[in-house]
Amino acid sequence: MKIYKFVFPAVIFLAAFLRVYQLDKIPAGIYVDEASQGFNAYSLLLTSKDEYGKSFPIFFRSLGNYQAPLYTYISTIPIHLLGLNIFSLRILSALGGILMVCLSFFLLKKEYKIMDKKMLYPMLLLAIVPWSILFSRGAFEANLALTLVVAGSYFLVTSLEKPLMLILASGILALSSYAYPSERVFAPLLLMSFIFIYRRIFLKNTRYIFFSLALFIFILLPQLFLLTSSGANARIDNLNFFGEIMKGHYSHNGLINSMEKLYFLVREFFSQYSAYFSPKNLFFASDPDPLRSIPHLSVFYWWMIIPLFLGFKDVINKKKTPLISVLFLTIFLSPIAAGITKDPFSTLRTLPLFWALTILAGIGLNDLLALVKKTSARATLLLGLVIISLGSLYSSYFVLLRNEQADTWGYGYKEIASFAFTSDKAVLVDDPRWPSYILFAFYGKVNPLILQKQYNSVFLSDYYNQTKYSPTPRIENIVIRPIYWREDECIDQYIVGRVLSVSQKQAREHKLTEVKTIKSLDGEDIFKIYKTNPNVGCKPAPI
Amino acid sequence: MEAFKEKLGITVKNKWVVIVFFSLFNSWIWVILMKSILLAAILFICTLTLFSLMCFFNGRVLLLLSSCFLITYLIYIKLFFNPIWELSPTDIYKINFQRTEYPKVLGSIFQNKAIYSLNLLKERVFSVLDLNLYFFASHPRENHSDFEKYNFVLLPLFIFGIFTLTKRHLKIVCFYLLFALSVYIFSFTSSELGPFLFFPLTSAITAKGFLTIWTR
Repeated sequence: MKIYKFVFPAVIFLAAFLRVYQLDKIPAGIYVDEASQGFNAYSLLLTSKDEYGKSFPIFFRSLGNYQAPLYTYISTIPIHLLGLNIFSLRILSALGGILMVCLSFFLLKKEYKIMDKKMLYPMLLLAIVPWSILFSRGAFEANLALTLVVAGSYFLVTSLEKPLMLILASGILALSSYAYPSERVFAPLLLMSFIFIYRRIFLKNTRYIFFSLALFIFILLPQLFLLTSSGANARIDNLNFFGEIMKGHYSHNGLINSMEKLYFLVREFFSQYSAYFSPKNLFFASDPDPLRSIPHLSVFYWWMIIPLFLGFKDVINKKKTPLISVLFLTIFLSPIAAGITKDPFSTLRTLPLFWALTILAGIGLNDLLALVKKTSARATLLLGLVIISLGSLYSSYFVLLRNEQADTWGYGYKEIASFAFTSDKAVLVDDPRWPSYILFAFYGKVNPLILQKQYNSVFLSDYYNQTKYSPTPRIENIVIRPIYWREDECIDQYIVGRVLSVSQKQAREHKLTEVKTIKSLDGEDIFKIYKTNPNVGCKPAPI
Repeated sequence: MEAFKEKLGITVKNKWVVIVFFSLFNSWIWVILMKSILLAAILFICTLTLFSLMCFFNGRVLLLLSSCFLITYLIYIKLFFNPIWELSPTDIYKINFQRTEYPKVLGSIFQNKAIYSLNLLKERVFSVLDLNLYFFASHPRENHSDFEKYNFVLLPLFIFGIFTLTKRHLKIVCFYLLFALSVYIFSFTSSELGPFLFFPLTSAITAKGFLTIWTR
């Protein structure tokens, strides 16, 4: 029908609007990982090296967690065009989210051929679903990885008609492992499983299998060379539960034989794995990490439980098409990497799962609306669901998250940076919570050479094994450390701390003058800036 | 395979052995039994009647199920009466505070007692729609009162049971589920007995899953 030629672009526009609107203001502030991505991209642009002085690293040491590199490298383009700011940092993720919706359109068109409501509903849900909005509006490298996975999935499906596309799919999926660590497990599993399922087709042209696997391994070679380094395994070493079980932490008395170890390992894995399918987590409770969740809103809207169930029942009973195969492979393989970590329901590690479930929910929504006979009633119901969803999104994300989680998202550091870098005195920042130096480096657009000169050639020669991390203590005139009252009250400087760092009693006792209070968006005090008065407050050291 | 099944004595005629087995082969019913023999007995009868309704429709069985269900429903409300419309002073404070975060009129639309109560109902309903609550003692998101109701090896049977429900079974399950979930309008607790209204449903579906695999 002709109307769909206007409806689909409208859905893409809606997806774009929800992802780009006030991108630099909501969430308010930036998280340290985002700042690290941005500053390293900035450093690459200016010096061809990261903040530590390493030229074009395969993994970025960042804050000691050895981040996947692709997001940082591609971020150099928007940062070069728009300068180093919050918008240029996040626009890549937003574009990734929009592209994901567009690529899903092409994938669905491969299945349904005609543009109609069977395609519209999954796309509409992908445009407005909470998980996609949340992760498209922050510099989340996992969102970029998801875009590549969807692109890879599209070419996998296309390869059944044009085997040459298998090589392209393989290359894109291999690239996704440079975007986020979970894809190092998921991408090869998806590729191998898809080839295996459709082996009768692919075995007619074995050279394409050969070239695609060769390309996959070739792209992964840099990672394979670093396989034994501590940096490459930093995340999995810190996050997996194997160590605790092997040490007997899961048994009552610490003693554990091999059968018990096996039992606990299997139980632990399946408890983590099944958590990603729990309706409670998907439709209500969401991620326990406040940076990866929206107040009062979960991964999906609560009403989507019904279409999701219907979608599952629909595809289980149908003949398996390539799209269905890709969706089911994604659903069951994606949570494996997350299932071996001890974090409960870490949404960032299973974005492909949510993508596949959203498409299934779209299929189920079509079945649900088909139960309503009258077209006008069907349209009213659909419109009502969309309005309720967008209303929830506005309330939870654009209001509550912006105001109540501003502190979580690092609001206030920009104000400290703009105060400190225009001050003629030293500024002591007492902030044990975060490696906040990177936030100051980002906001201050600090010359990367200042940080790089702190690391010598010995450090750089063993760059990928430097997992012992301590944050940089000084950025220009900003010093980041705890307050030592006896010394610091005698230095003419500013002291910045959270409300609990310097009590009013301490301020009076050490003769500090309050200069400024930085408040969160909900009116709570976050930081206070004091000026020392050495002439008055300084107590000479005892002889 | 058929000979093996015959040796074990589990044939289609002996499906009652299966449902009794799954009703008793779990820690949940025994935890309830330790607290109240009467409640455990009523839940056991509920399970048998629900399962038999899934096998064949019978008016008397439906009546028995309805009676047992109503008794457990009323017991739950009596023990844990906590209706969603009764908000504490803290809840009211939260609503008023969050209202100030919205521009002008929108605050009263998005933050009011009705919306708050509905969110409370959502929280209660989804807290019991959690596979891990039943099979992994809510791990990895445990509360203090959680315990493993069924061994995790039964999880595949439960999932298989859910996805092989026929239309008729689905109607019975949906009706039971909706009636059971409606109790959270009036009451809620994270008690040491767990959401015992759902015991018949989970046991019956697990048994159904087992039988479906066995008879294929």
